[in-house]
Amino acid sequence: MTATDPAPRGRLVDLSILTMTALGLAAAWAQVVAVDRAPEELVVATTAPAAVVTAPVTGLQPAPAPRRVVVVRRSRAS
Amino acid sequence: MNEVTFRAMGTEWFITADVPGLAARAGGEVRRMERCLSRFDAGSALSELHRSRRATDPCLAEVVRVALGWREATRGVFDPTMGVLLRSYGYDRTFEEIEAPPVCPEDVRPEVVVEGEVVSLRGEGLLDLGGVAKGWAVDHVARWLAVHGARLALVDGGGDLRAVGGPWAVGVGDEDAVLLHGDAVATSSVQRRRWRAADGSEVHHLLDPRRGAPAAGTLVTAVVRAQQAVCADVLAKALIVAPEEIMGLLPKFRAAAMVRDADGAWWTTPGWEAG
Repeated sequence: MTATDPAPRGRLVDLSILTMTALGLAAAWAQVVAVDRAPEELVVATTAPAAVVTAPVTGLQPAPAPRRVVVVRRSRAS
Repeated sequence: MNEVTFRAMGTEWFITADVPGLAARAGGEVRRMERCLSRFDAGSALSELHRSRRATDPCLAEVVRVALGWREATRGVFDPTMGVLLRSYGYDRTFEEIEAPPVCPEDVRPEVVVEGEVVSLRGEGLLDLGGVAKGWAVDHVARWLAVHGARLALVDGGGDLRAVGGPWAVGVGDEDAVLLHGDAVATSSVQRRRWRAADGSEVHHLLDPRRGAPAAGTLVTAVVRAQQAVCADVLAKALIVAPEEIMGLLPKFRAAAMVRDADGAWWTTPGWEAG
Protein backbone atom coordinates (compact mmCIF):
# COMPACT_ATOMS: atom_id res chain seq x y z
CA MET A 1 0.00 0.00 0.00
CA THR A 2 1.27 3.52 -0.92
CA ALA A 3 0.06 7.02 -0.21
CA THR A 4 -1.10 7.37 -3.81
CA ASP A 5 -3.49 4.47 -3.60
CA PRO A 6 -7.06 5.88 -3.79
CA ALA A 7 -8.47 4.00 -0.82
CA PRO A 8 -5.79 4.97 1.72
CA ARG A 9 -5.94 8.58 0.49
CA GLY A 10 -9.67 8.56 1.21
CA ARG A 11 -8.96 7.33 4.74
CA LEU A 12 -6.32 10.04 5.18
CA VAL A 13 -8.85 12.68 4.10
CA ASP A 14 -11.34 11.18 6.56
CA LEU A 15 -8.75 11.35 9.35
CA SER A 16 -8.00 14.94 8.44
CA ILE A 17 -11.68 15.83 8.66
CA LEU A 18 -11.98 14.02 11.97
CA THR A 19 -8.92 15.80 13.33
CA MET A 20 -10.19 19.19 12.24
CA THR A 21 -13.61 18.43 13.73
CA ALA A 22 -12.02 17.33 17.03
CA LEU A 23 -9.90 20.48 17.14
CA GLY A 24 -12.96 22.58 16.41
CA LEU A 25 -14.95 20.87 19.17
CA ALA A 26 -12.09 21.28 21.61
CA ALA A 27 -11.85 24.98 20.83
CA ALA A 28 -15.59 25.35 21.22
CA TRP A 29 -15.49 23.46 24.53
CA ALA A 30 -12.67 25.66 25.79
CA GLN A 31 -14.67 28.72 24.90
CA VAL A 32 -17.76 27.37 26.61
CA VAL A 33 -15.72 26.71 29.74
CA ALA A 34 -14.32 30.21 29.63
CA VAL A 35 -17.81 31.63 29.21
CA ASP A 36 -19.07 29.43 32.04
CA ARG A 37 -16.32 30.66 34.32
CA ALA A 38 -17.02 34.31 33.74
CA PRO A 39 -20.26 34.42 35.77
CA GLU A 40 -18.52 32.54 38.62
CA GLU A 41 -16.02 35.32 38.91
CA LEU A 42 -18.87 37.80 38.95
CA VAL A 43 -20.63 35.81 41.67
CA VAL A 44 -17.51 35.90 43.81
CA ALA A 45 -17.32 39.61 43.31
CA THR A 46 -20.91 40.14 44.35
CA THR A 47 -21.15 37.80 47.36
CA ALA A 48 -19.92 40.36 49.89
CA PRO A 49 -23.14 42.41 50.05
CA ALA A 50 -25.25 39.24 50.10
CA ALA A 51 -23.29 37.94 53.11
CA VAL A 52 -24.52 40.82 55.28
CA VAL A 53 -27.37 39.11 57.13
CA THR A 54 -30.00 40.85 59.15
CA ALA A 55 -29.68 40.76 62.94
CA PRO A 56 -32.47 38.75 64.56
CA VAL A 57 -33.04 41.60 67.01
CA THR A 58 -32.41 45.28 66.39
CA GLY A 59 -29.17 46.42 68.00
CA LEU A 60 -27.32 43.11 67.87
CA GLN A 61 -23.92 42.99 66.23
CA PRO A 62 -22.21 39.98 64.66
CA ALA A 63 -20.12 38.31 67.35
CA PRO A 64 -16.37 38.86 67.05
CA ALA A 65 -14.16 35.91 66.19
CA PRO A 66 -13.97 33.56 69.15
CA ARG A 67 -10.85 33.72 71.24
CA ARG A 68 -9.53 30.32 71.99
CA VAL A 69 -7.97 30.22 75.43
CA VAL A 70 -7.55 27.51 78.01
CA VAL A 71 -10.60 27.70 80.26
CA VAL A 72 -11.08 26.45 83.79
CA ARG A 73 -14.83 25.90 83.46
CA ARG A 74 -17.60 26.37 80.90
CA SER A 75 -20.88 28.24 81.20
CA ARG A 76 -23.61 25.99 79.87
CA ALA A 77 -27.35 25.72 79.85
CA SER A 78 -28.49 23.26 82.47
CA MET B 1 -6.16 26.40 95.36
CA ASN B 2 -8.30 23.54 96.49
CA GLU B 3 -11.56 22.46 94.90
CA VAL B 4 -14.62 20.28 95.31
CA THR B 5 -17.17 18.87 92.87
CA PHE B 6 -20.49 17.45 93.93
CA ARG B 7 -24.13 17.20 92.90
CA ALA B 8 -26.81 19.37 94.52
CA MET B 9 -29.99 21.25 93.52
CA GLY B 10 -30.36 18.89 90.57
CA THR B 11 -27.06 19.85 88.94
CA GLU B 12 -23.26 19.58 89.12
CA TRP B 13 -21.33 22.01 91.31
CA PHE B 14 -17.67 23.00 91.30
CA ILE B 15 -16.10 25.28 93.87
CA THR B 16 -12.47 26.30 94.11
CA ALA B 17 -10.89 28.77 96.53
CA ASP B 18 -7.44 29.90 97.65
CA VAL B 19 -8.07 29.11 101.33
CA PRO B 20 -7.46 25.48 102.36
CA GLY B 21 -10.64 23.61 103.27
CA LEU B 22 -12.93 26.53 102.37
CA ALA B 23 -14.34 25.04 99.15
CA ALA B 24 -15.57 21.94 101.02
CA ARG B 25 -17.22 24.08 103.68
CA ALA B 26 -18.87 26.16 100.96
CA GLY B 27 -20.31 22.93 99.57
CA GLY B 28 -22.10 22.54 102.89
CA GLU B 29 -23.73 25.93 102.30
CA VAL B 30 -25.07 24.71 98.95
CA ARG B 31 -26.59 21.63 100.57
CA ARG B 32 -28.17 23.79 103.26
CA MET B 33 -29.86 25.89 100.55
CA GLU B 34 -30.92 22.76 98.71
CA ARG B 35 -32.72 21.52 101.82
CA CYS B 36 -34.60 24.84 101.91
CA LEU B 37 -35.41 25.31 98.22
CA SER B 38 -35.82 21.83 96.70
CA ARG B 39 -39.19 21.06 95.14
CA PHE B 40 -38.35 17.36 95.21
CA ASP B 41 -37.69 17.22 98.99
CA ALA B 42 -40.95 16.94 100.93
CA GLY B 43 -39.21 18.35 103.99
CA SER B 44 -37.99 21.56 102.31
CA ALA B 45 -39.36 24.99 103.18
CA LEU B 46 -40.66 25.30 99.61
CA SER B 47 -42.59 22.05 99.91
CA GLU B 48 -44.00 23.24 103.23
CA LEU B 49 -45.11 26.48 101.55
CA HIS B 50 -46.89 24.59 98.80
CA ARG B 51 -48.56 22.27 101.30
CA SER B 52 -49.58 24.79 103.97
CA ARG B 53 -49.65 27.94 101.79
CA ARG B 54 -47.36 29.53 104.37
CA ALA B 55 -43.79 28.91 105.50
CA THR B 56 -41.31 30.67 107.74
CA ASP B 57 -37.73 30.43 106.53
CA PRO B 58 -35.16 33.22 106.00
CA CYS B 59 -33.57 31.54 102.99
CA LEU B 60 -36.89 30.89 101.23
CA ALA B 61 -38.13 34.40 102.02
CA GLU B 62 -35.00 35.94 100.53
CA VAL B 63 -35.14 33.89 97.32
CA VAL B 64 -38.85 34.58 96.84
CA ARG B 65 -38.25 38.28 97.43
CA VAL B 66 -35.50 38.25 94.81
CA ALA B 67 -37.72 36.33 92.35
CA LEU B 68 -40.60 38.78 92.75
CA GLY B 69 -38.16 41.64 92.26
CA TRP B 70 -37.09 40.15 88.95
CA ARG B 71 -40.69 39.70 87.87
CA GLU B 72 -41.17 43.43 88.36
CA ALA B 73 -37.83 44.36 86.79
CA THR B 74 -38.54 42.33 83.66
CA ARG B 75 -42.17 43.51 83.51
CA GLY B 76 -43.44 39.97 83.76
CA VAL B 77 -41.12 38.35 81.23
CA PHE B 78 -39.80 36.37 84.17
CA ASP B 79 -42.45 34.99 86.52
CA PRO B 80 -41.80 32.62 89.46
CA THR B 81 -45.49 31.82 89.96
CA MET B 82 -45.83 29.45 86.99
CA GLY B 83 -45.32 26.29 89.03
CA VAL B 84 -48.62 24.76 87.95
CA LEU B 85 -48.04 25.53 84.29
CA LEU B 86 -44.54 24.06 84.44
CA ARG B 87 -45.87 20.94 86.09
CA SER B 88 -48.55 20.60 83.47
CA TYR B 89 -45.76 20.65 80.89
CA GLY B 90 -44.07 17.82 82.76
CA TYR B 91 -41.68 19.67 85.04
CA ASP B 92 -42.64 17.91 88.25
CA ARG B 93 -40.27 15.20 87.10
CA THR B 94 -36.71 15.14 85.91
CA PHE B 95 -36.25 15.86 82.22
CA GLU B 96 -35.59 12.21 81.45
CA GLU B 97 -39.01 11.31 82.85
CA ILE B 98 -41.00 13.96 81.00
CA GLU B 99 -43.82 12.61 78.94
CA ALA B 100 -45.79 14.46 76.27
CA PRO B 101 -47.48 17.45 77.94
CA PRO B 102 -51.24 18.00 77.64
CA VAL B 103 -52.59 19.91 74.67
CA CYS B 104 -54.31 22.39 77.04
CA PRO B 105 -51.90 22.93 79.93
CA GLU B 106 -53.23 24.25 83.22
CA ASP B 107 -52.13 27.77 84.23
CA VAL B 108 -53.03 28.92 87.74
CA ARG B 109 -50.82 31.46 89.49
CA PRO B 110 -50.93 32.45 93.16
CA GLU B 111 -50.53 35.85 94.75
CA VAL B 112 -47.31 35.81 96.77
CA VAL B 113 -46.73 37.81 99.96
CA VAL B 114 -43.39 38.03 101.78
CA GLU B 115 -43.32 39.59 105.24
CA GLY B 116 -40.00 39.28 107.02
CA GLU B 117 -39.16 35.57 106.99
CA VAL B 118 -42.74 34.50 106.28
CA VAL B 119 -43.89 33.60 102.78
CA SER B 120 -47.60 33.16 102.03
CA LEU B 121 -49.47 32.02 98.93
CA ARG B 122 -52.98 33.31 98.30
CA GLY B 123 -55.22 31.54 95.86
CA GLU B 124 -54.31 28.43 93.96
CA GLY B 125 -51.02 27.80 92.24
CA LEU B 126 -47.40 26.96 92.99
CA LEU B 127 -44.05 28.69 92.87
CA ASP B 128 -41.23 27.67 90.60
CA LEU B 129 -37.92 29.04 91.80
CA GLY B 130 -35.88 27.18 89.20
CA GLY B 131 -35.13 30.41 87.37
CA VAL B 132 -33.48 32.13 90.33
CA ALA B 133 -32.56 29.59 93.00
CA LYS B 134 -29.39 28.32 91.38
CA GLY B 135 -28.03 31.75 90.46
CA TRP B 136 -28.90 33.08 93.88
CA ALA B 137 -27.13 30.13 95.51
CA VAL B 138 -24.03 30.71 93.37
CA ASP B 139 -23.93 34.37 94.46
CA HIS B 140 -24.52 33.41 98.08
CA VAL B 141 -21.62 30.93 98.05
CA ALA B 142 -19.30 33.43 96.35
CA ARG B 143 -20.09 36.04 98.99
CA TRP B 144 -19.65 33.42 101.73
CA LEU B 145 -16.22 32.52 100.34
CA ALA B 146 -15.14 36.17 100.25
CA VAL B 147 -16.38 36.79 103.79
CA HIS B 148 -14.41 33.76 104.96
CA GLY B 149 -11.16 35.03 103.52
CA ALA B 150 -11.05 33.90 99.89
CA ARG B 151 -9.36 36.41 97.59
CA LEU B 152 -9.48 34.13 94.57
CA ALA B 153 -12.37 31.71 94.09
CA LEU B 154 -14.78 30.42 91.46
CA VAL B 155 -18.24 28.95 91.97
CA ASP B 156 -19.90 26.95 89.19
CA GLY B 157 -23.46 25.84 89.86
CA GLY B 158 -24.60 23.90 86.81
CA GLY B 159 -23.11 26.38 84.35
CA ASP B 160 -23.93 29.57 86.27
CA LEU B 161 -20.55 30.97 87.34
CA ARG B 162 -19.48 33.71 89.74
CA ALA B 163 -15.90 34.70 90.39
CA VAL B 164 -14.19 36.08 93.46
CA GLY B 165 -11.20 38.03 92.17
CA GLY B 166 -9.77 36.98 88.85
CA PRO B 167 -9.13 36.69 86.03
CA TRP B 168 -10.91 33.38 85.49
CA ALA B 169 -11.14 32.13 81.89
CA VAL B 170 -14.60 30.64 81.39
CA GLY B 171 -15.79 29.05 78.17
CA VAL B 172 -18.97 30.43 76.61
CA GLY B 173 -20.86 29.70 73.41
CA ASP B 174 -19.29 27.22 71.03
CA GLU B 175 -15.60 28.07 71.29
CA ASP B 176 -15.42 31.49 72.91
CA ALA B 177 -14.34 32.53 76.39
CA VAL B 178 -14.69 35.40 78.83
CA LEU B 179 -12.39 36.49 81.61
CA LEU B 180 -14.33 36.97 84.83
CA HIS B 181 -13.12 39.45 87.45
CA GLY B 182 -15.50 39.17 90.37
CA ASP B 183 -18.51 39.07 88.06
CA ALA B 184 -20.72 36.31 86.70
CA VAL B 185 -21.89 34.57 83.54
CA ALA B 186 -24.85 32.31 82.82
CA THR B 187 -26.24 30.54 79.77
CA SER B 188 -29.77 29.60 78.83
CA SER B 189 -30.87 27.64 75.79
CA VAL B 190 -33.93 26.04 74.30
CA GLN B 191 -31.86 23.75 72.09
CA ARG B 192 -31.08 21.18 74.71
CA ARG B 193 -34.34 20.33 76.41
CA ARG B 194 -36.91 19.86 73.68
CA TRP B 195 -39.59 17.28 73.20
CA ARG B 196 -42.70 16.82 71.09
CA ALA B 197 -46.10 17.66 72.52
CA ALA B 198 -49.21 15.55 72.13
CA ASP B 199 -50.38 17.69 69.20
CA GLY B 200 -47.08 17.15 67.40
CA SER B 201 -45.62 20.61 68.06
CA GLU B 202 -42.12 20.90 69.45
CA VAL B 203 -41.90 22.41 72.93
CA HIS B 204 -39.14 23.33 75.37
CA HIS B 205 -38.75 24.29 79.00
CA LEU B 206 -38.62 28.10 78.75
CA LEU B 207 -42.18 29.31 79.08
CA ASP B 208 -43.40 32.76 78.12
CA PRO B 209 -45.41 33.93 81.17
CA ARG B 210 -47.55 36.24 79.09
CA ARG B 211 -48.62 33.55 76.65
CA GLY B 212 -48.57 30.63 79.04
CA ALA B 213 -46.69 28.59 76.45
CA PRO B 214 -43.11 27.84 75.40
CA ALA B 215 -41.29 30.95 74.20
CA ALA B 216 -41.31 31.37 70.42
CA GLY B 217 -38.70 34.08 69.94
CA THR B 218 -35.88 34.39 67.44
CA LEU B 219 -33.07 33.40 69.82
CA VAL B 220 -32.21 29.86 70.89
CA THR B 221 -29.28 30.50 73.24
CA ALA B 222 -28.32 33.46 75.41
CA VAL B 223 -25.09 33.96 77.36
CA VAL B 224 -25.32 36.88 79.79
CA ARG B 225 -22.48 38.47 81.69
CA ALA B 226 -23.47 40.53 84.75
CA GLN B 227 -22.31 41.52 88.20
CA GLN B 228 -24.32 38.72 89.84
CA ALA B 229 -25.11 35.18 88.77
CA VAL B 230 -28.81 35.52 89.56
CA CYS B 231 -28.95 38.59 87.31
CA ALA B 232 -27.14 36.78 84.49
CA ASP B 233 -29.35 33.71 84.92
CA VAL B 234 -32.67 35.56 84.89
CA LEU B 235 -31.70 37.85 82.02
CA ALA B 236 -30.44 34.94 79.91
CA LYS B 237 -33.81 33.22 80.23
CA ALA B 238 -35.74 36.44 79.72
CA LEU B 239 -33.72 37.30 76.60
CA ILE B 240 -34.90 34.14 74.90
CA VAL B 241 -38.50 34.81 75.91
CA ALA B 242 -38.62 38.50 74.88
CA PRO B 243 -35.40 39.57 73.13
CA GLU B 244 -36.43 43.10 72.12
CA GLU B 245 -37.68 44.08 75.57
CA ILE B 246 -34.88 42.54 77.59
CA MET B 247 -32.12 43.90 75.36
CA GLY B 248 -33.26 47.35 76.37
CA LEU B 249 -32.92 46.44 80.05
CA LEU B 250 -29.36 45.07 79.90
CA PRO B 251 -27.53 48.40 80.40
CA LYS B 252 -29.62 49.11 83.49
CA PHE B 253 -28.18 45.98 85.10
CA ARG B 254 -24.67 46.52 83.69
CA ALA B 255 -25.15 43.32 81.74
CA ALA B 256 -24.26 42.31 78.19
CA ALA B 257 -25.02 39.24 76.15
CA MET B 258 -23.91 36.98 73.38
CA VAL B 259 -26.83 35.26 71.70
CA ARG B 260 -27.38 32.64 69.04
CA ASP B 261 -30.17 32.77 66.48
CA ALA B 262 -32.06 29.84 65.01
CA ASP B 263 -29.65 29.70 62.05
CA GLY B 264 -26.70 29.15 64.37
CA ALA B 265 -25.15 32.62 64.04
CA TRP B 266 -23.75 34.31 67.15
CA TRP B 267 -24.49 37.96 67.92
CA THR B 268 -23.51 40.31 70.73
CA THR B 269 -25.23 43.18 72.45
CA PRO B 270 -23.49 46.54 72.87
CA GLY B 271 -21.08 46.34 75.79
CA TRP B 272 -20.22 42.70 75.33
CA GLU B 273 -16.53 42.13 75.68
CA ALA B 274 -14.69 38.97 76.36
CA GLY B 275 -11.92 40.38 78.52
